Amino acid sequence: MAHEHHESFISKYIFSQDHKMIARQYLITGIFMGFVGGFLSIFFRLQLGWDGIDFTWLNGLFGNYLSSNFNEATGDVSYVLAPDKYLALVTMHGTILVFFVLTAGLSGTFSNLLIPLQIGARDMASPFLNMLSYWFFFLSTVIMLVSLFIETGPASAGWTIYPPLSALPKAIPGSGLGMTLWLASMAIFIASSLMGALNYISTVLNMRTKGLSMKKLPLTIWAFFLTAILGTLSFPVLFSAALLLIFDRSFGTSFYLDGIYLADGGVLDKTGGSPILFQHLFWFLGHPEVYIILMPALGITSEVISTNARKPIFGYKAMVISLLGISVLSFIVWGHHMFVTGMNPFLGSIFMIVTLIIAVPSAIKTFNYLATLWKGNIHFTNGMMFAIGLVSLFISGGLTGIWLGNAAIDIPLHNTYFVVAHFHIVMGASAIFGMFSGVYHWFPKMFGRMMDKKLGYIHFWLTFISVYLVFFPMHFIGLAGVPRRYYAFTNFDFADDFLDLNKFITYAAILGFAAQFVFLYNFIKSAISGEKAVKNPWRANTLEWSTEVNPGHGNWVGAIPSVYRGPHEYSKPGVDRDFLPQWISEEDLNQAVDYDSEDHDPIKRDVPSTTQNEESVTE
Amino acid sequence: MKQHFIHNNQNGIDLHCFLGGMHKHASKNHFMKKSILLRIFSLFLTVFLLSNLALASTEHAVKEENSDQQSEQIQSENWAKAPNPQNLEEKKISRYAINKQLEQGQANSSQSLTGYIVIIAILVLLIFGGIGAVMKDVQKMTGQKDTTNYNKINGGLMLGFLVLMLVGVFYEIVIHGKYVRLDSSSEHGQAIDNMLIVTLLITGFVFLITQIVLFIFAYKYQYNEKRKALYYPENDKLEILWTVVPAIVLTALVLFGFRTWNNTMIYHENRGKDYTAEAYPYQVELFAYQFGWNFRYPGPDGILGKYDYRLIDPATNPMGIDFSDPASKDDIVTRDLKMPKMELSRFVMRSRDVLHAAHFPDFNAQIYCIPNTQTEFHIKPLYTTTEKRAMENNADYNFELACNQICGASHFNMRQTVEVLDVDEFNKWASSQKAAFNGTEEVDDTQLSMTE
Amino acid sequence: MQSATVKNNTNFKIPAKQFTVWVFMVSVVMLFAGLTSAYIVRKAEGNWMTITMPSQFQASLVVVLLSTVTMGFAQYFAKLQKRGIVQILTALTLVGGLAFTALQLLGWEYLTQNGIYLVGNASAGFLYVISGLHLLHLLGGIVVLLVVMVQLFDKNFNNSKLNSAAIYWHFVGILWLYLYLFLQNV
Repeated sequence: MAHEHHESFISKYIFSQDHKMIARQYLITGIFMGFVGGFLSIFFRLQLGWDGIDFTWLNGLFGNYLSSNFNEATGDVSYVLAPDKYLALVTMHGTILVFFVLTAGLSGTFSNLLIPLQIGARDMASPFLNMLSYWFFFLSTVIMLVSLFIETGPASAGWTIYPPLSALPKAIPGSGLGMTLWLASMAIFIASSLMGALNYISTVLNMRTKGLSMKKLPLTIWAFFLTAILGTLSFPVLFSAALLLIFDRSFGTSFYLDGIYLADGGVLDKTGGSPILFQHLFWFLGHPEVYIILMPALGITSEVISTNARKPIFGYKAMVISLLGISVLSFIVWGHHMFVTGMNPFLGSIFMIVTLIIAVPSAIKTFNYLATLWKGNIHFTNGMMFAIGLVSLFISGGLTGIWLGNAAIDIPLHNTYFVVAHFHIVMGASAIFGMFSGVYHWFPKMFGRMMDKKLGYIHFWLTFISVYLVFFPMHFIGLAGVPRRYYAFTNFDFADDFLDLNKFITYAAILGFAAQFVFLYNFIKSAISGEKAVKNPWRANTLEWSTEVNPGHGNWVGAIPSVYRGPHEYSKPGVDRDFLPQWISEEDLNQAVDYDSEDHDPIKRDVPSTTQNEESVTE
Repeated sequence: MKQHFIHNNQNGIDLHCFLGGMHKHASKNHFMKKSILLRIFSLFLTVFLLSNLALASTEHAVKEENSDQQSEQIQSENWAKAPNPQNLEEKKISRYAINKQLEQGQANSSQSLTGYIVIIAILVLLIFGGIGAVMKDVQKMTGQKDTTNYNKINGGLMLGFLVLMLVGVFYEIVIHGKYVRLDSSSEHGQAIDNMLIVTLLITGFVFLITQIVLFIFAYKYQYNEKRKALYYPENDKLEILWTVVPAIVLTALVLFGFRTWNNTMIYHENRGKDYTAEAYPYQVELFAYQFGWNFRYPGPDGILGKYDYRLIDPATNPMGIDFSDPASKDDIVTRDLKMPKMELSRFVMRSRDVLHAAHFPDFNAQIYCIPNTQTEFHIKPLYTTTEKRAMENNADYNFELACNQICGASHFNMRQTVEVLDVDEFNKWASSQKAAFNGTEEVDDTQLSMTE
Repeated sequence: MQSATVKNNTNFKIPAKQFTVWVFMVSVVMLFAGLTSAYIVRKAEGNWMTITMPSQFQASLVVVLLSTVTMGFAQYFAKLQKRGIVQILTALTLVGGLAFTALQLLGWEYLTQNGIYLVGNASAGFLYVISGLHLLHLLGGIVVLLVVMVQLFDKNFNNSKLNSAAIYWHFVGILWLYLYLFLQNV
């Protein structure tokens, strides 16, 4: 064992202050919420595919989502999804996936796992705060899940919760208790995110090991670091937006409300507010939020592609500058979500210009990924497959962003299925692929075992194909003008043409969702009885692979290794092996220490020799 | 100083069988043979069941379609009896709307396919698992290691996927591209369509090149033990090249877009100034509410009068018009939206309760409707409804208005047809409408046949 | 690529935990930045009542600034390891914080007595929300102070917790200065 101190079950597994345990906790919660969010989507996709589909079988647990239909002719009572509950489902799907899976599940897992390990620290700057951040996250998860089951239903105004709809329970039932629970959950979630972000920033800046300058940081760390800064600067503004909304809902103020007559309630005595104010405050977080989701995925991709192509990531400097550029620009583009709100067109022009500028660093990153693959020697590990998939999806989704960023084109396309296709591909699917890539790649580090690679390949291909099958056709639906968040397409001629396509998309979505069970099975089985991992199964360069397979609290037995070079020294000319870890000193190199001796590569076909000898590591 | 690590004792790769452990028995081979046969049998059983289910569900789906048609018949009969709020021929009926209006349960005779779908999905996964298990057993029995070259397989699949993707994209464009109308029926809409086509060409080109490069690289540079990867960490010139080229292309798009955007929204120059009848002879106020639309025309004086949300009363004054303003007295309130062809109609939008959005797919027009605040958008239609019907070869074609901002349960059901008439016909229609004000500060509701 | 010299583990002169406090302060600044921008935007739309700050808020400003002074002295004496004096000074700071709280409450009471409520004109709404949120943050600072004061009974007390608490306390005080001037002038 790495550490001598005795830990109770509770302090080791439940209220752990070890960043690796916390990472696992985030991951498991994130995966669980991913299945919840995915299940919700199947629910509403079934309604879209077959309008008025019978959901009687859901009556037990989810009866509050259904409304009954009485067929006079046959005397049957059947249950359909109530239209306002359809909106509840899309709201919760978005909220759960954006925040709980792709923000906390992605950043929380990998920042926690990798930051101390890759920079050579024993743990985070404040392990106690780190532990709190997870349990706050857990609490917010519980509250959000509870809101799914209440009578009036969960929040139903879209994950963007614009007032007045989100402020008035009489406008839609979900804006009652459901919305209150949503706000409570999100307030706690924001606190959790901030606690995590504080730790990540402090740790990266203050606790790097000897020799690890910022210029030698792995790109994963750069990504997590900048993500944490984005979070620190933008989540509080969401908090302020939510705070004012809480006051409008529960304390009678009118920050966002003005001049409203409700069919059920008459004239409201709220004057002076502006719903557009909410949108500005919301999207000030909302836009950086999508980069908070995307940047960790991009960082992971850089790492995984470089390692598995056995090549340095092309243009490390440019990659860092792109990340910086994206981070800075992300704060000034929020208005592109509001082009058609009636804002001053001059303002719209400014947002349009900046939005199209932000496409440039994303393009640079994409070209760098392609250049990294060029003349590489690619090992198709599961992690690598998902990383390549991410590049493909990032290209597809990013290009449609250029359409939407152009204000004039946004006029017909805003809030249509085109937007749905765009953000699912570029943010939803890309980030999930980044997450999967990370899970497969760092599973040996987290659980000391390897995941089954055949199941991984099946998981990848089924998911990758179904993502394109589901979201590519949506571009056309959107171009035809069909709005999003529509319960049914049956009421408009222009949407008529797509009733059959909805069925197809639903089938593809079910296939995609089913494929995730392959992952789940693989994950659980491998964690319990997967093939035991070796120290450095991918023969990678970064510091986390220098520890034992199952590092204890404190990460390294003895001294923390120092860093002697950058993280991407693969296939370096003049070096025997095709990798050169960061922690191997020049001395060791000169003495021809074989740092590859005890690793065997499960990727290779030959059976490697077994070695149980001691290994020397300099202090 | 040497440190000692504890290593894993590892003798080659251990194959586990994930449908059951294998024990090292003397009768290993016999035992294995039996269980392999068992597995192959269960595999066939699964396939058999699956195909039966597939057949059954397709039959079921066919039945469902038939019963759907039946219930549609019932719908239309009932619909004929129901009052028609819009005085227009309706082709599409919302079942939800019927429920609400007729207070009659909608016959939903379709049984859900979900059960079948779920079972099919599970069986598909079991098949995959079964195949994998059988393969593993065979290998175990013959004492082989898993020598499948997965790298090569996946490399090939990458290429295969590329082909599939290109075919799929092409197919989609051909099959569903035809539903995308790139001939907008409004003047500014045509400019937006041009913008769309240019953007499509540019991004489509980039899409093709980059996806092809990606998957070909993945295939071409797959692991080959005789090869070493090329150590090529950076090339600043290249970075600059692919920074500058996208920047130039995007700048071009920005300039093009800037012009199109300004031309569409240019009326904002007049913001705050009086909208006189001379400058804008055709004006309509579009009023969105949960869940429908009202429209107000300025009447003979050509000016839309003041409004006050406190005066809103769905029965007598649904738009909250302030009739103390003389300009309001001749305003016309209707549930019909008509526009004159080849004339610029100035739309002002407002909402009664929550945020809505007025979305005209035919005209490439969209703007939010905010409570108690007016937004505006200008549309100049190029074709009358009759002309468009001839163009589309569809006698039932109608321009449509939809709500495009989530606004509550019937968000999907705020359908409104828009009729474009020749200028003379429009003027005739407009002048035949009665003013809403009937002398008692109440709205004459004969033009409003259904209030909600 | 090689690094001939090695660098220290901490790249800043302050411990990591203290640095965390600075980052936290950035996020609090963003929170109030969001609220004050909302304030500015809303004000530009008209229908805005001008409210003069009650005298209780002026008093509370003075009190909180004084308490930052006592806290500053506490830091100074902590460096000199004069535990006793540090205890007295932190206690004074705490008293200052409690006085601030009382004065804020009295200020609100005064406002309501003069017909300025949370519900009503937007400017009043913002005033209450912003001052209330600030008070919440100050209460958090009081909790931290209490923790530090308990710690001070230990002979071998560690400066860094006190310094972290002090940094935060200064921040909360200066924040009120900014908010007061912001709310007063507009």
